[in-house]
Order: sequence, then C-alpha cells, then structure tokens
Amino acid sequence: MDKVIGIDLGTTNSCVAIVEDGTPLVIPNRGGYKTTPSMVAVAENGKRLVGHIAKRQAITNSENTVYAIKRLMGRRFNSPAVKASMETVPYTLVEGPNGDVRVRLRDREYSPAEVSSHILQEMRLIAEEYLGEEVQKAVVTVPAYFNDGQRQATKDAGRIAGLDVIRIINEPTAAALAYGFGKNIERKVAVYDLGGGTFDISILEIGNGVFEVISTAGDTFLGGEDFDKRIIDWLVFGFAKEHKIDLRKDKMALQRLKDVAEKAKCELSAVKETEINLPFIISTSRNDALHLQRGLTREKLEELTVDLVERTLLICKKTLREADIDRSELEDVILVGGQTRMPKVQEMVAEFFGLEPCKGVHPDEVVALGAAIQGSALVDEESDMLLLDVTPHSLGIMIVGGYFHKLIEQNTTVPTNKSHVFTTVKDNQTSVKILVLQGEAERAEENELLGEFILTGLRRAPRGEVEVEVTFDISADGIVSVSAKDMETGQEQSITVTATSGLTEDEIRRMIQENKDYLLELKESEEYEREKQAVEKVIDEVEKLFPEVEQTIAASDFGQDAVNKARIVLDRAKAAIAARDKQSVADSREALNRTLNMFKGVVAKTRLG
Amino acid sequence: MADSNEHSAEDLVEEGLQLYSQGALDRAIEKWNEALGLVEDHPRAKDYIKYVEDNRAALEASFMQAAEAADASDAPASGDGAGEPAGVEEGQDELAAERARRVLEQADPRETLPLPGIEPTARMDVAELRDKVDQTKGQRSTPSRTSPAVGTSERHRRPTPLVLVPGEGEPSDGGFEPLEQTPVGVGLPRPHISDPDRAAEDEEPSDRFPSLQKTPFVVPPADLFEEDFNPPSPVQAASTGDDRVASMLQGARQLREQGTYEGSLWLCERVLSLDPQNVEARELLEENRRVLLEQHRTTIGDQTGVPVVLIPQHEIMWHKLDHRAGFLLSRIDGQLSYEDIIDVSGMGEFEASRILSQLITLGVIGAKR
Repeated sequence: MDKVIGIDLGTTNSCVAIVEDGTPLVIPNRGGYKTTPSMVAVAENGKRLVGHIAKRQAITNSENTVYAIKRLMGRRFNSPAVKASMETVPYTLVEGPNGDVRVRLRDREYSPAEVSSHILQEMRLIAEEYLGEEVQKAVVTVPAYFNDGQRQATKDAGRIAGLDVIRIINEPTAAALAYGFGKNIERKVAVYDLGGGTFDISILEIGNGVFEVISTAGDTFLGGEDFDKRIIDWLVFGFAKEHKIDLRKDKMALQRLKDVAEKAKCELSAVKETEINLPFIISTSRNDALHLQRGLTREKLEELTVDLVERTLLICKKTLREADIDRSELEDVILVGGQTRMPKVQEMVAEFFGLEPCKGVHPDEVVALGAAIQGSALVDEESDMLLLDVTPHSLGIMIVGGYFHKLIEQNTTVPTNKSHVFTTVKDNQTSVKILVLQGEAERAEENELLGEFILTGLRRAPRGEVEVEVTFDISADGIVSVSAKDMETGQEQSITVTATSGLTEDEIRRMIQENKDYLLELKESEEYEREKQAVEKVIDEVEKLFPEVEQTIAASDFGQDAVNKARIVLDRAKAAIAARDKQSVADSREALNRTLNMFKGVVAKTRLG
Repeated sequence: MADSNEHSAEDLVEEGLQLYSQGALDRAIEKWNEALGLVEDHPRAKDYIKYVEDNRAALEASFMQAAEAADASDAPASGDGAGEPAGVEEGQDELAAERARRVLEQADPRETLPLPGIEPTARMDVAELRDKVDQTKGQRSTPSRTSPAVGTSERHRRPTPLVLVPGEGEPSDGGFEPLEQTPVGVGLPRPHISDPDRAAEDEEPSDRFPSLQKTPFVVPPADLFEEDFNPPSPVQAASTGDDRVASMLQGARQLREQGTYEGSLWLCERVLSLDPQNVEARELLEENRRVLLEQHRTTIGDQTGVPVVLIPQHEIMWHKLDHRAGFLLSRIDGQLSYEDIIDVSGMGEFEASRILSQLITLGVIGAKR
C-alpha cells in the first residue's frame, strides 16, 4: 500500500502527518519541531531558504521573504485579497502573464503555487527522511472557503513539489476527522481555528462516518501574529520611554523582538510570568550597546490582547446566527491552531459556547492528522470511512438583468447535481449564453466567472416559450460540469469547468523541471559537504602526525621521498576542496587514507622502538 | 630669564597639547616648535613633534573619525520623540570607529612595551600602567581613577605623556567629554575580571576615540615607527582633500604591507568616501577584504558546523559587543549552522564572518559538542 502523507499547508505554519500501523502521527522536522514555518526566502547569495531558517531572517530580509502566501493562492492580481495583502506584506507583488499575482524575490518572479510548492516539498522531505523512502501521494488541506481556483492552485503546488495530491480537503473537516477518529459519534461540533495568520470558525455535522461542513466563516487577517505584535509594541514603547529609541526602526532589533515576543507568548501559556532578555539589542550614537530586559505576566498579555479574542467571538456569533444554529445544539468545540493554546482564548471560547473545549486533540497537529487519516482511508480498500465535502461557494448562472441565479447553494455536500429550467427572454431568440458563476453576491458581475458557453439552434418563438434546462453536476473531486439542453429538440451543449491556478501547463512543467534540478543540486551539495568533511578530518590527522613522521623518516632518501609524496597528497586534497570539485575530493580520500595509515604505522613503530 | 623661558615653553607645550587634542596637528607642531625656540632641546616638545610626524596618517584618520562620530552623536533625535536607532544609521560609523581603533592600536606598539623597572605583564590596564610609571619615576603616586586630566601641573612634569584624553573614570578637562560614559549594558555592573590577559581588553574604554584612550604613559623609542610609517611631514600634509587621500592611501598601503589588513581596509574605505573613483583604494580594499575573509573563515572552520553559545547570558553581557553581534548571537539556536547564520544575517558574508570569528575568539560561541 502506498504511503500517503497528510499536509496541513497553513498560512503561518505547516505540518505533516502519516498513519502508521493504524495510528496517525505527526512527523517532526529536522529541528525536532512538529510544525514548520510556511516561509520561503531567497538569501543574498541566491540560496533558497525554507521554513525555520527563512523565519530566522524574515524581518532582516523582509523584501525577499514570503510569508502568508496562502492568502494569494489562485488569486487574480486585481482581486481585493491581493490588494489587501499588498498593503501589509513587505515583499513585492506584481501582475503575472495570465492576470494572476506573482511575488518578486530578488531578480525573479514566483507564482504563489510555486512558493507553496517549496513549502510542500520541505514537508515531503521531512516525511521522506522519517520514513526512509520516497513519498509521492498526499492529501492537502485548504480553508473551507477556498474556491476552485485556489484549490487548483494548491493541487498545482503539490504537483510542482513532485507530489500527487490525491485529495484536497477542508481544514475543519480534517480537524473533525482527527477528532472523531476511532469514535462512532453523531453530533454537531464547532471548529474554532485561530492560527498564526487567520481565524476560521466552522460548524460541522458528524454522523455515521459522514463529516459535513454546515457553515464556515472567518477573518483572513486575524491570527497569532497579531498577538505577537501587541507584545512587540508593548516592548517597543517601554524601551522608547526609557531610552528615546524606537527599536522598530532597526530591522535586526525588530527581528529579535518578533522572535522573543512569540517565545514569550508561548511560554505564558504554561507559566504565569516570563522574562524577556535581549542583550545588545541596539547601539546608541555613543556606541553603547543597550539591552532590553523586561518581565511579562500572563495577566499583562491578556490585557494587551483581549480585544483580539473578542473579535473572533463576534465572528462566531454572526456565523451561528446566519446558519440559524443555536449554541445549545453544539456538543463539542474543537480548538485548532497554536494560538488556541493561550489560556485566555480557551476560557473565553468555553464561556461563549458554554462548553469546555475538547482537549483530546492537539491544536497544532489536528488538521494534518485528519489529512493523514483521510489519505490512509483513500488508499485502503478495506476502509469504510466516508468523507463528504461541501461546496465552499454557491454555483449558478447569470440571468436577465445581470442577476445571479444560484443552482447549488453554498455548503452543499458533494457529489451533487441540480437542474433548473429557464426560458428565452426575447422574441425569436435562437441562442442563449450560459455564464457559469461562483459566489454569494446577487449581482452576477460581483461573483467569480468560472466559464461560459453558448447553446444555439433554438426554435424561433415568442419570448418565454422556449425552455432550456440547465444542469450543474459536481463530482466528489469537486469538478464542476454544466450542461444546457433545449427541452424541445434535445439539443445539448456543455462545459466542464476546469479550475485554474493562473499557471499554464507549460509553466507548471517548467517549474517541475526546475524543482527537480534544484533537488539534484541540493543533493550533490550535501554529498560534497559530507565528502569534504571526511577528507578534512583525514587531512587534519595527517597534518598532526606530519612533524613526528618527518623527523623519524626524512633522514633517509626513501623516507624523504615518502614525506614528499605525502605532502603532494595533502596539497592535492586541499586544492580539490578549494576548487569545490566533488570528484577530486572523493578521489583524494583514498590516497589520504593510505598516507594516514602509513604515518600511523611509522609513529607506532617509533613510539614502540 | 631661563626660568621665564622654561615657564613659557611649558605653556606653549601645553597649548600645543590642547591643539593636538582638537586634531589641529599642524598648529600643535607650530606651538611645540615655538617652545623649542625658547628652550632648545625641550624634551617633551621634541618627542611630541616626532610622534605626530611619525604617525600623522593614522592620527589624522583617527581625528577625522572622532569628529564624524561627535557630529553624529550631536544629531537631533527624530521628530516623533524617539531617538534614531544609531545602530542602523550609524552602523558604518561604528564599524569605522572600531576599525580605526584597530588601526591605531596596531599602529601603536607602545602599549606592549615593557617599562623600565616594571615587570612585564601580558597587557596592562592603562591606569595600572600609569600608577606603575608614577611609582617608578618616584613621583607622587596618583591613584589612576582620580588622576588629574592632562593639563595639570603634575602631568606637565612627566617627560612623555602623550595621553590627551582622560582615562576611564577620570574627570574630563577643558570641555573634552569622557569618552566612555557607561559600561556595556544598562544598569549592569562591570564584572571584576581577574584574568590579566583579558583585563586590558575588557576594561577597554570607548571605541570612539580608542587609540588615544589606550595610549599608555610610555615614550615611544625614537626609531619605533620609522619602519612602519613614513608619513608626510607637516608641511607636506596640507589640508587639501588630495593630500588627505594620498596620506591615507599611503597609510593603507603600509598597513597592508605590515599585515594589518583591518586598518588598511578602514583607510581604504575612508579614501573611497572622499574619492569614490580611486582605483588603487578599491583594489586594495578588495584585497584586504579577501585576505580578512579567508582569515575569518579559518577561525570559523567547518561552515556546516552548528555553533552553540558557550557561556551563560549574564556573562555574555560582560563582553563589549554591539547590536550586530547581539543579533548574530540571537540566531544561534543549536540548529542553524555557521553557513545558515551567515545566510540569515542580512549583513553579507564578510561582516557576518568577521563578527562570528570575533565571538569564537572571545570564547562566547563554539562548536556544538
């Protein structure tokens, strides 16, 4: 059975999990952490940095560090989401050749799918290192509100990363899956997801192994980073008061503040007070290095951030009201996202829902675990688990007057199909244009156009006489097909809406190849480093023995010859290292080992004699 | 009459010293020459003239740097009430000051010379050294921390003090501000350092006017700098930009020949700031950078190695580090390699390697065991 990994591709952090021997588990990265920052950067020397290392320089190299790329996935350059991002991110966004958005890092432009592919690839490498084998299949999670284009962009990202994304599932669905794993439950639950950069609230109905998202809403610009920012501001103002220096103007200081704020926040989830120490935070004009030392209590943190938690609860309230769900109907609240570990968040959520949040699932890991469970079920023929996803947005067509007529409502469980009969609006109308749209707005132009086609050959008749049946069909994979049939003649036209991430097939192929080349280069570089280190170790040993050997054997012609040869071997090895010639470095190793053995023999003999 | 001449000569020498402290080297020499006109072979006047002429390039560079630093520190704070983070805008000045310190330290071997009648120590604190000089000379011993500033009558009688600024803890004189107002850190006591090898380093005063502060009360032998420097005479060193460039370039060349690459690099940077098209300075600068980078790489060793902080945080604070070193230290997390840290530093390989190698040398960081 193929190994399928589950990836929670988050706005701020990502997580990878797998089901092993029937047990879902999260795979830690090389640093031992179970989550990896969803950050990609290009360093000054052109090197690609992904994850933890990219985060460590995110502020000092802010123009070339991409975070929250998820907000840009599958977006058009002129979309409101891109405009909102442009105001907040320090990296440059430009319009792509297909009207999509691209990120400029140093001298190159990257599509959001390409940036995401670097993160997915990192997750794949983490899994491969753990499993000791290649991984090709993955289930990737996306927010429930992602539209088809955004889902397709996520699939493309997986493809570029060398992964076959066998299913895209909604994050709250994945969380509920992990929550319900191994249990036979029937209940309505709320998934409160407060991650690093976004907040989502989803209401799900679980029953008979079916997980259905009833309603979902959120704020894509509210998350743990806002909490960090409050701590940073508190530290900055305190320091300014004391020293009249604004630390935010110094990128290095700001980077350190960001790191320490996040660390302090996490610590305060476990303890009531923490000490913030940043030695040599800044140098003054008199060349004195100043330190920042301040204690932060949990109480103070809560005071600084309580309004942010209140904002999430307002969204929860609105969502429940719009979905016509009473809080008393909910039987559990699942917490997702690192920020929900804050005791104040848990306390306020419990108070709002009148329920103690579920403690059985880890908020950082639950989504990835759910994805892994789903992945495992998809390749396991014996699995009877049924997972139903819903349409994130309503689907329909444009009708007379420029209005949007919904055929499939938002949050309808897929697979599904629905038909509706329309009539002509003009006398002697012989054709109709079907504009397929996705969205919730009444006006057609305010929704997203997925595709269009024309049905011709209609009978000439007064308006309203000719009837055309339009059918929407959505497969389990979310593929939307739309057909229009002349009810009289049976003549039919149809369209399959292929979601696009904004990348052309050629572009995707080129990116796949570039990625393969990059991996090959990375592998070679790692192999070279390993070889180099081994050779350097032998050089070191030989050089240490050199004086003693030289003294012992150089007196004879034969000995002098051996010493000269050893020197040549050393010089060659050093030259190979200096030239970064992998093959020469490897070749020099054997001769060096021979020399070392010879030297050791001479030394042993001398010492014994 | 002889007494009167002697008295006037002393005054002139003092006036020369005042001018010297303001960086007016030519005018200082004029005063000392006037003193020599009154008292032939006036020992201090002769020594001072000789010293200034022999070290003109480095002294001019130092004074220039000091003046720039003073200008920078006088700059008004930003409009919002919060001061500019000097570390950013003035980072280059600090770097230059640090380099200037090294140029002058390295160009001034007097500080390592053993004194007559004093047991040689590896490196002595300036004040310690001064006390010993006083005792050796049989003069009234003045505790170093409270010794009067230059210009007092006691100092006049010393044969050779070319220390024109007060040492740490001493009162300033004639409006010359103490150079190092606070120890490293805010509200933190300076540690008691018992290691004599490190004491002088750790007690080292400001980086801003380093050479002057570190100059001990020792007379340089007359021929000490002849091999190292061949500075232009005061007459040659007119105050025109071209002459300054030529003088600094010559200093850079000589320091390079001595193997004092940091000092040479700093002078090259100064030259290029005055004459950006200067090809020789650019080539010399690149060469210095190349050699220094190689040295730093050697100190670091295997770049794929993962460094760790070797001493507790409260001990780190004792060291005289700047915010850039603080930043690199904060990147050390037991996961990132030296190579990674250089990548994430945002300050370029040369600068990051320089700081890392310094931290290694100081024993603050080392390889993960």
